[in-house]
Amino acid sequence: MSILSSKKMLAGAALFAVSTNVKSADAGAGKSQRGINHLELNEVPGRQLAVCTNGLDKFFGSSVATNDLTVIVEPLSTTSMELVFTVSDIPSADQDHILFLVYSTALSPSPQMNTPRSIKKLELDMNYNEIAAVYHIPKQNMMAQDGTRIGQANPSANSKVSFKINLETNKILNLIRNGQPTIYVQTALIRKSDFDASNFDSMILSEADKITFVDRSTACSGNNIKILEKDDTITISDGNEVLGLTMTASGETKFFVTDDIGKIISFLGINKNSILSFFGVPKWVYE
Amino acid sequence: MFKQLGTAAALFTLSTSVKSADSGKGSLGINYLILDEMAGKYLTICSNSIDSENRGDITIVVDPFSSLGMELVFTVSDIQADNQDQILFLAYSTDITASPQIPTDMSKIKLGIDVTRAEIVALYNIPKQLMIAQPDTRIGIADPILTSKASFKIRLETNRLQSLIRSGRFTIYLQAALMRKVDFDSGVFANMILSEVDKITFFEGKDCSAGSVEITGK
Repeated sequence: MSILSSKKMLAGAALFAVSTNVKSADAGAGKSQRGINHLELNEVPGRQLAVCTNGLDKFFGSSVATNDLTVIVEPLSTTSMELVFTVSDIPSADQDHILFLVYSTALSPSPQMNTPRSIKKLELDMNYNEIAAVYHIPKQNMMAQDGTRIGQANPSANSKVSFKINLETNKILNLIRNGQPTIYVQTALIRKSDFDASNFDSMILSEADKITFVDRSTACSGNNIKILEKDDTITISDGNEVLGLTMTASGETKFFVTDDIGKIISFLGINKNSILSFFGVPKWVYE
Repeated sequence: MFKQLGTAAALFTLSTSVKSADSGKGSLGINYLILDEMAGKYLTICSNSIDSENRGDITIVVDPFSSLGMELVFTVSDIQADNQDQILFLAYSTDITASPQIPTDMSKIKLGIDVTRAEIVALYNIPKQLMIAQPDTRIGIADPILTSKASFKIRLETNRLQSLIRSGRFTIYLQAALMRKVDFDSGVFANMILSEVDKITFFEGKDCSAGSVEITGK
C-alpha cells in the first residue's frame, strides 16, 4: 500500500470531479512563470509505442513538441505500450507536493473548477475524468552554497520530471470501439496537505494535451509500416534503446537511436539493412 | 501511513539497485549522469555546436567592463527516485587527472578531475521520495517510478574569473555526482555515480571568435 490508500485516492478524485465552485478565470493574470503559476506537459513515445507526427522536427529535443499526438494501436503485436510524460518545472519547495496527471474523454467549454493560482485553467470535463498518475514531490531542504573561486550557486534547484504510463492495448481498443478515441490530459501540482484535504483550488495546471488513438489498419499506415506518409515517425524498441524511423519523400528510411526520453543520440543510416547489421539479429523487427 | 510506504519504498530500492558499472551497459541515472550547460542571464557561450546536447567543451566570454553577474545554468539527468536522501553536487577543478583519484565502482563514468585543485561549487539535497500506488484506469496504469532532471544556476563573478584568467588557469573541468546522503556525510565517495567531464574555458573579451556559435542567455 501507499501513502495514499486506494480509498483515499478515490475520495480525492471524486471530490475533484464534482467541484463546481467556479469563479471567473481572472486571478492568475500576470507574468507567466513556469513552475509557479503553470506547468508544461510533454509526451514522448516509449517502449512499443508508435506515433504519427507531422515531421521529424517534432521529434528532436527532449520530447515530442506537439500538444496533439496520434498514437497507433497495434492489437496483434503488443499488449501494452509505454507513453512517457514529462512535466516542467517543479521548483524546490519547503512543503511536500503531489504531482498528478488527469485525463478525460471530453473537454469542458469552461473550467469546472476555480484555480486562481494557475494561469492555465482546467479544461477537462470532470464528468469523464480519471487520475492516471500520482507522484509524491518531497519538500527539499535548501543547502547553503559556498562562495568559490568562480562564483556561487543558487540554493534552489528546479526539476523536470518524467514518468511512464503503460497503455493497455485492449483498454485502448475499447475506447476506440466506444467512439471515444481521443483523450485530453492535464497535469497538476498541488501541496500535499491541500490534496489530502481535497482543496484543489490551489493547484497549478499544465495546458491540455490531446491524444488520439488510432487502429493501425485505419490510419498512419495500411497493413504495413512501410506506407507511412512522408516524415511520419514511429518508434520501436529492443527493450532499452528506442528507435525512431522516418520515411522521407524519396522513400528512403532514416534510422535514429534515441534515449529513454526520446532525445536523438545517434543517426545510424538510411536503410534497414544498416540497422540490421548494427544490432545483429534484432528482436524488434517491426514487420 | 508513512510506515506503509516504507515497504513499498524498500522494494522500489531493490528494483532499481545498481549493478556493477563495469559489468554492464550504461543506464542513465543508475550508473552514470549527464551534465549539460546553458547560458543564463548576461552570459554568452561560444560553442562549436548549436545543439546543447553535443556541447561539453564551451567557451564563456568574460567582459571585464560589465558589472552584471553572469548566470550559468547546469542540468543533470537523470535522477532516479530513491527511498533514501541523496546529495547532488557539482565539482570543478582547474586540472584533469590521467587516472581517477577516487575509485567509484558504481559509476560507469570515472572521476576525471584533479581533486587536489577541486572545489564543490553546488550542493543540493535530493530528498527521499515516497512511492504511491498507481490507480488502474480505463487506459492503463502508470509506472510508480519518477525520474527527474535537475537544473540549477551558478552566478559567475567577473572579478574572480579575471583572476583565474590572469593566473593562467582559464580552463575549468566539471563533473556532477550523485550519492546517498549518508555516504556523503561520512565521506564515502566511492559510492557516487558521475557525469562526464565538461570543459569550460573563460575568455576575456566581448564577443566569440569568428566561426563559433554564440549563445546568449536571457
